[in-house]
Amino acid sequence: MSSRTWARVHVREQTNVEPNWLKMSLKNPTEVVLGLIFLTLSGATFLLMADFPSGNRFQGMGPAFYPGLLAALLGVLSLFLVLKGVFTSGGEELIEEERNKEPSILFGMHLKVPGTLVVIVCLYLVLTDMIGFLWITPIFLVATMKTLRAGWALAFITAISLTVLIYIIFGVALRVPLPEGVLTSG
Amino acid sequence: MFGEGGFFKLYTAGLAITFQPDVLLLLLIGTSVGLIIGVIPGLSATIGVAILTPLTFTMSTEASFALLLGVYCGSTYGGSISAILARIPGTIAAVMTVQDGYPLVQKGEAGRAIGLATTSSFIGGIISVFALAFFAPLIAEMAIRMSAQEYFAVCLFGISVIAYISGPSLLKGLISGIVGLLLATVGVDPTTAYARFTFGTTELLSGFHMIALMVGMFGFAEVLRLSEAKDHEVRKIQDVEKVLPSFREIGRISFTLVRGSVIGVFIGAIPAAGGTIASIVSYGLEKRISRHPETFGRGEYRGIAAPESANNAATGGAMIPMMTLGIPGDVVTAILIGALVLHGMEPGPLLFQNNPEIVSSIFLLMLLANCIFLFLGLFGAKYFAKVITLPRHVLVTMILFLAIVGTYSIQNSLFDVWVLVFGGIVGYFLTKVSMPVAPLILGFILGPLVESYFRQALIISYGNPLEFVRRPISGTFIALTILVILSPYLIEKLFGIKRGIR
Repeated sequence: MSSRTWARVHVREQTNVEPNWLKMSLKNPTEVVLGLIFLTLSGATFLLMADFPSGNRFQGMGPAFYPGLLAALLGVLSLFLVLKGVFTSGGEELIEEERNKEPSILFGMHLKVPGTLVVIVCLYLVLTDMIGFLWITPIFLVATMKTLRAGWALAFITAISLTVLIYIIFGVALRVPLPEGVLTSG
Repeated sequence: MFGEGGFFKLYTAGLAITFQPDVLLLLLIGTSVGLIIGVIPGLSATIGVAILTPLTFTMSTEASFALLLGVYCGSTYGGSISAILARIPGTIAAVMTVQDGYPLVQKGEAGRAIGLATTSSFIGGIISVFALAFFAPLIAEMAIRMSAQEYFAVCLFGISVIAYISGPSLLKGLISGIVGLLLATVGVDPTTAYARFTFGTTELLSGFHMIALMVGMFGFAEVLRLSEAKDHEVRKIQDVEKVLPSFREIGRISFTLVRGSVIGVFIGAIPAAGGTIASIVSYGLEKRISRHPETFGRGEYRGIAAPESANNAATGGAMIPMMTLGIPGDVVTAILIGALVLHGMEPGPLLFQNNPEIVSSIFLLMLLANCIFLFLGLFGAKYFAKVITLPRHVLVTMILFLAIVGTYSIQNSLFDVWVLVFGGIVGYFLTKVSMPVAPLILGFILGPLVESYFRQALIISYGNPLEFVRRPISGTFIALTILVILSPYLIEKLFGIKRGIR
């Protein structure tokens, strides 16, 4: 179900003509938002390039030319996307299987598990450097398994087995210096 | 180009480095792992190759490709096992195999179905390797004469094709490709050594690591997507007996195998087309030319042979533009470009000139990988199929953990893992809003090359952009790029066929 924004404009005539109602609707708000995001990216690129030195044709036009060209192209295409979202209905042109699917939305309960996983991974990266790979990894794996609704026994067995396996493959066989942190370093 | 001895020297240069115990062992491991990855619905060759690429950093080039090509060939075949036994294609390329594979299982002929799929995949794969070995050197010989303008035009064409083919919205595909090209500009400008978009950090001076971003956008994003599923129940599979097909059965489908293989090689060679399209086209053609099309969908042997030979033949086909021009034939070969770069090599004609032993080794490894999965499939399919019964949360956790540690191991840098997380979040949300990820990754991989060729061409022509269209080859590819971009509108105007638009 696509959301619609309605704006009504009254038009009053001097004579006895009934007022016209103009309805403006965003046909595909997701594309409008996407287009605005990429338009912002394009604008931000130009802003960041403001300090880049200019070049000449013997240097291949300098460091700003190529990203500037890309940002300009991105800006134009993003504008098309915004206009497409305003004037073109995504609902009429969806292919049949897409009609039957629940529409993908950016906010909702289905993001709870992926969002939790992202938070767990971020915490893992911060803590592994501080505490050490061997100590924090089993905790991270148990947290991941529990987020994915596994039982405690399976979570612990998987966590210990994977930690040992990865340590043997990477730490011992491939000699990758895994983060030691405070608790593991000498 | 190949010096004294020509093609013979090219084909034999890799014998010594390929037939080493460690290389052959990695090929066996890679093919087995690839088979397992292919069997598991939700995983694909893309994820397998993306996640394993960082692990190959410390290996030799031939050992790396033994592992990665094994995964590529094994997983392309492996999708047919779950397609037949569990009615769920393990990989998208096996979607047509379900049509006639599962009905055969229902008739009690699961073994025959597996045998046909295995043999068809093997023959398709072998034919594609011979096609690769024959055509690639010829194209490389022509490509060496190309200049910066031509290479730029070819790269642009590759990005436009993947933007077109990766989803119903060409506009979103093009935006995705341009964002990828823009992300590739982060870091030190190769021509002037000026630091662009680094925000004063030393980590960003060399830009985002290609492997970290790829593993994030394909691996971590896929993990996030798989984690949404509420269903973690264990699936059941059919028992498998009598897998080995008879010569008579193979004889019945021989013409189908050849047709499917040729289709697979040609479609695979089109940048970004890949095995899925090849298998669909092959199945459709076989049904159309059949005297009894009503048998398709009810356990018709050719309904398995056609798509399976085509999707495995596409693997060799996809390697042709990757190795000769540096343009990936599909997403997996895009990642393999990253693997070559990781080992200090650049795909393209110079690969044939400077590293003929690696080129030759790739031909041999693909040949051997097909032989290995033939053996594993005919004698071990029923054991590999049991992987489908593993709980999903165990698999997802393993993939996530392997992706993190593998990415860390590239440069022993946690920053690369942060790039993985960033790529994963971006890739996940792009998929949610129906933005294709493949053009972004391809744009990112080709970005440095595209910029380099573009600026070289401008330097050579004193800043004159008309030079790109004045030269016949670059002009042709630019015209083709414009045609690809305008094609949805042209097709709608000329034939009244509208693409599904999201």
